[in-house]
Amino acid sequence: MHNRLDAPSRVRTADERFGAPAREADVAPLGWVLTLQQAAGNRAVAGLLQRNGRRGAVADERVDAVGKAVDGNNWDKASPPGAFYLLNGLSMDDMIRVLRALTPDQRKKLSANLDEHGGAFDRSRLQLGLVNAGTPAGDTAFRERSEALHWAVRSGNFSAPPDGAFRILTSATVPERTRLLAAMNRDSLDELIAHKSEAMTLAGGDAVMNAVEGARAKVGPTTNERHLHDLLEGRAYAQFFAEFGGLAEFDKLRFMRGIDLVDLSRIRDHVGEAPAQDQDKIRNLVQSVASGASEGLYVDGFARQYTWQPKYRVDNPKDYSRYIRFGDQFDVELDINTIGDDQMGEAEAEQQFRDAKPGPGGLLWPAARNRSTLPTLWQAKQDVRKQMEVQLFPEVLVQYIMDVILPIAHGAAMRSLAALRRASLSGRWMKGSLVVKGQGATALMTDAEAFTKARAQRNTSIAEWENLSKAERDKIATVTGGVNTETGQATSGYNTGGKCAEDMVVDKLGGDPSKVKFSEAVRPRTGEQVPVCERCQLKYKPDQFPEGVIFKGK
Amino acid sequence: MDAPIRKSLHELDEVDWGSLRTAHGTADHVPDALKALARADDPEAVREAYWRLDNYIVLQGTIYPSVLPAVPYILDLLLSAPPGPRRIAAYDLLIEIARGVPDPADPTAAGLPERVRPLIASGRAAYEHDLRDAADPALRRRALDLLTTISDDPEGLRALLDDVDPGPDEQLGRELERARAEA
Repeated sequence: MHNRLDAPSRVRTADERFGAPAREADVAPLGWVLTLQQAAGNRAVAGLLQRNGRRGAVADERVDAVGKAVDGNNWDKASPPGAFYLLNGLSMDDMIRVLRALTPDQRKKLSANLDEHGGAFDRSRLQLGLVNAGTPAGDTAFRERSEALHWAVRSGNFSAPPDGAFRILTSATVPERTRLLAAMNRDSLDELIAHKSEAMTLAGGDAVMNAVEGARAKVGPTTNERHLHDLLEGRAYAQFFAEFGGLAEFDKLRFMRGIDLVDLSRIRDHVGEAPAQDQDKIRNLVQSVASGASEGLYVDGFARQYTWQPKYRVDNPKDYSRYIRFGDQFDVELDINTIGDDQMGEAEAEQQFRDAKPGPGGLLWPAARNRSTLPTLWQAKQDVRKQMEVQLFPEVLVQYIMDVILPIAHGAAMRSLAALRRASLSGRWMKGSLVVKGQGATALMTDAEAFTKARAQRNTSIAEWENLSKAERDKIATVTGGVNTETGQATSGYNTGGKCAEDMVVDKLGGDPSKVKFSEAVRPRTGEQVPVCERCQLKYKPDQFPEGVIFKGK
Repeated sequence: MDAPIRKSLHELDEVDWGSLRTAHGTADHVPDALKALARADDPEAVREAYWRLDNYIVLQGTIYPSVLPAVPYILDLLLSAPPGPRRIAAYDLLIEIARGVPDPADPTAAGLPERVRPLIASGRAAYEHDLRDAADPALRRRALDLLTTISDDPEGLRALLDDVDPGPDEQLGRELERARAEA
């Protein structure tokens, strides 16, 4: 699902959002129809049209108007109405009817311009219409399947039986799948890629993902996206942020998803040059793309681990710091005293979660900060206060890295958080309970144990490397090991097909990549440590690597 | 045997490095990294400079378009550096590059190995010399690794390996024996 902040402004309503057929009254008014509508209202005009048998005439007029707009390269204007403006308001039936009445060249021109100029409209639905208009009218089976797939993606149903997007795709034959994917525009393909992990749980899911990624690779960037990329490469950050700020929200996300990690890190590192009012929103987008957690950016979920330095920013030497720090792509500094001890009713707290907006660190923050809306951070506040009370050796001004014990007492809050994270509630509850008992996921092993286990996996793999053929040995430049600290599973990985060894470890272990602890990577040919590359530094956090691991930059 | 295809660091400006890709953006920093490697006078400085090239023009077995113009400079470095860490670093870079595959996500990188290997192979005479006569066993092992990687003449390689005396270094002896078996 799209982050609710990123929904394009033209697809806000429920009907449009979920691709339901537009009501007759929504159809773009044309010529004499407009005059009548202004005088008598949409519903009355619709009735009049039906009574007078003018629907055919209206359809012809639509075809003429869309055709004229296409020929005149008028795509998205409201007046005179552009082609996408007109088509966007039609039901799927009407859209296909109008599109079929256009010439093949006109349809081709529409397709070619959809990504360039359709940003204000429901592009995925327009693409669906265009593809279906190019199929024989009698091919209702394809239309039904492609609409079902479109609907599944739109409604965020990727793997639930029977109509989850990946269910539809895995049950299709290869030619059907190819056709279905051709009917998905790149926004839909990006959504499928963003939910890859759900595909991998199904038989045939890997083949489907190869096809999805192949289809997405065929769709290049738009002219404007290339221009924005050039601005980044040219380090024209102020201009970049000015132009980027003018994009529709969904296009911003799409641009971010399409760029490489170098460009993403440039945006991250220069976000301070964006207009002040845009900075947190941009951080939020960077977070969404870098962490892949478009649904899980609620601030409370990012404070499982935080640092507290007793004397950080204290005015009086006898005081202890009120600040904790946490974060992912960006550091967040929070005064724990800004979290109130007051509680809210379930409905009110729920609403706070849903209305949360991008704030510090690009995370989503509720307007009210209290025990109900920030249960994890509130718990952190209690833990820090406890630390202040037991500070027996104040001269030891170390930095504390703490794990929050999930506050299982706050049922409503945890339910809301689980819903926002799209996690199973029972799983979250189980995890919370277990952690409190000291047997939970975070207590499964210490960091030291995890790194030792990861190193053992790596060393085993290096020993096996020695016994490979020369051709096989030559392919393996780097070997590393890793452990998923939630499941205890350990494995090793090596570089393959443009991917780093770390990526193979994460792929093999599955689950949450941020829960993987890696060993130092080693080049088996020389036995030398391979520094963590820039891409992996962006993908994985420093604490996922053992102390002393080398992080290199240019 | 053909002359090595090499370029001196004075000729670094001949390449538009900013237009070439590495694993992490453009190759703007590559000339500085090559110069740093050439000037490095202790093992730590060599290692620093080395990892500004490895992990960029080649990253964990994947090579990027900037590797193509970089190889003649690396080869020059190998040929001109005295035996020691810099020469070993140059060997390590060439070995990683020679074994690299193109980035599957970058259509412009297709065919890169076929273009880059002849450049590396043009230094074969120097590698053979190091394998036979270098005093440092680490250097000899690198030369062996590179020669077995670029060889497209199994018989010629076998003849060369049969003619090499490993000397007292046990590791080189083992590697040479294995290379003979695999040639």
